[in-house]
Amino acid sequence: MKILVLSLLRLGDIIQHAELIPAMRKAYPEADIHFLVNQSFMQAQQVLPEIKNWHCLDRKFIEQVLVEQAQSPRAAFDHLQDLVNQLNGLKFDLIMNLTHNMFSVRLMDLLAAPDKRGAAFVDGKKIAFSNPWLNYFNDHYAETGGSRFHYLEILHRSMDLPFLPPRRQRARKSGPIYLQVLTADEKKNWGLGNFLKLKNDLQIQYPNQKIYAICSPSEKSLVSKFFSDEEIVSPSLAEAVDLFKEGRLLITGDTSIQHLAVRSGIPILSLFLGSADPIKTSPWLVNPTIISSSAGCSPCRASQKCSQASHICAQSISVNQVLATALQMLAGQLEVTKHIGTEQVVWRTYLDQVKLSDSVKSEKNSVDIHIDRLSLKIEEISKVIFGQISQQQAQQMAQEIKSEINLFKDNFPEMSDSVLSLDRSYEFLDRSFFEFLKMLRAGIKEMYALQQIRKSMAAQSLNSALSPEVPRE
Amino acid sequence: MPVFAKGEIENLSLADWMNKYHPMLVHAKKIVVLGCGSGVHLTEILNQFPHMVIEVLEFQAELFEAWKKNDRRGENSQQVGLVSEKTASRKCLVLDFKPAWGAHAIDYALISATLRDVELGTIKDICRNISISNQGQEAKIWRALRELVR
Repeated sequence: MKILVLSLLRLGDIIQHAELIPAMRKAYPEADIHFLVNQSFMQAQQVLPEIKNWHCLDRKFIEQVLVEQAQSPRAAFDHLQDLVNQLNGLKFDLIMNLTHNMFSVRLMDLLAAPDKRGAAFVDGKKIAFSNPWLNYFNDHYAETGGSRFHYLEILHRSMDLPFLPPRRQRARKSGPIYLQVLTADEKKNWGLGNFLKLKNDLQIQYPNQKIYAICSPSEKSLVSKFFSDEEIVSPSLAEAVDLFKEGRLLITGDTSIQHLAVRSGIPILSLFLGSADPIKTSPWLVNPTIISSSAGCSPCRASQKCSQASHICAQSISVNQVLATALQMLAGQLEVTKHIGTEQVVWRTYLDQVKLSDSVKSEKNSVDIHIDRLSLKIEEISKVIFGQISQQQAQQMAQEIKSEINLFKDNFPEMSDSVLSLDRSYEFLDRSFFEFLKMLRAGIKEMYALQQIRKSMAAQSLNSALSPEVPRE
Repeated sequence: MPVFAKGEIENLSLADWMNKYHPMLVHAKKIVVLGCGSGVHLTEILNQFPHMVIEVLEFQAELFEAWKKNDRRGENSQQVGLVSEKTASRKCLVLDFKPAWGAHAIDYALISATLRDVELGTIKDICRNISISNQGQEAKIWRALRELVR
């Protein structure tokens, strides 16, 4: 089984998308998983070892060719065509579009696979979403004012993957404290001055504690106005992973570093300001520790400038507030209770119910069709009792029934047990044809009864949407 | 037909020229350079990108020969060669070294436009000319490319 994942967004998104791999492995244990990413973010392979196969699109090159016109547009065309042909040559069984933008939708139209999930065009036309979670993703994800669901929950459910709960973070007693002092978006920055005060206050409480400011090399000149050179670290992605494995606490804004840190187990205190949505892109943890802005305009739209006269987001989160939370985390005393809102429960139930009724309907049709066909054939073969068909004809029908049973077992392996009686009847075929027929008729009645039980259990499972999720250890 | 801004040729410095093309040179393996002149730009490209394959289009072949004598790397014909309009590779990065165009400026400009398929227009123009009912692979690829630069 070969799976291709289209992950053509930014680094933080690629790291988050990798969190779906355990669910893919659960659904497809032997799958060979490939990721398609932008060339600019290929360094992600240093920190995502579970992804063995990487492909890249050189978006920057394509943009340069098409915008600056220093080359024939055909150079961009050839690049994309070569990529499409290369990917199609690998003959993927399943392609998942986790990118969900217009380019990825058109790319899905160019790629061939028997199973495609996510937004896609077919010959230029948008295909209707069969999964109600995918509909929700498309219609509601970009809304501002706060999301109902985490990005990864939506992706799990809209890609028809088993939903695996997030990781759990545990307090650590030793190691450095890291402060991710800047984000890629000015609106999401708490402020270097605030981080410096926080660092100084933490140092008073823990005089021997090592505390470092993390930034990229290009940010160092700015950060060094607040922190000394000895207090600044500018690790590569792989180096950051190693640092976090031994770290005691990370205090960060909404950045790709935050998502990377989740994988290393370091406790994380996230500060969500500006366009950062604490439900949508919080660290993928059972109970993430987040301090979010109380400004009425937050979370705002990422692409727009701040609408306020001053950065009230940052001002609404005091240093004392962050300090108090950090001290509790360091002492291992913070208990975070995740509140599940009524609106979230209602939406989840609605989306699952729509999905369940669709799948029950389609499965019902398939299983019932098999059972009906078997039933008809068994009634036909029974005519041998009254001499309406010859023994020879009956023997031939017996082989057809056997083929039908095998087909059912192939299509519904989880229901193989329900045809055990039918299978066992064939032990009598050579000894007594009439015993064989008796077992067949008993077997088909058993199958009908089992199908009725399954249908009523499926209806009852709607209630499970309201019960709490069991965290993953 | 491209028109040069006044002073564009005379005032262009080598550093400015390299800065302009550097982001694209990073991705290129093979380039076509229009105009040799003294060849200082060829030397600089090979200094920064030692493995670059360069096709040089220069109407006065002796200028290219003179540069080769100064920069021995020019003698590696696998790497640096003189081409004509007909033999220049299409779809390569095309670098216009206008300080060397002199009296042949119009000819160079026309060749540059041809090599860059300027008459195809922008990606927007290309997509506008594709019929909606055309769902062949080529049409789909152009439409996908259009999304990347919207």
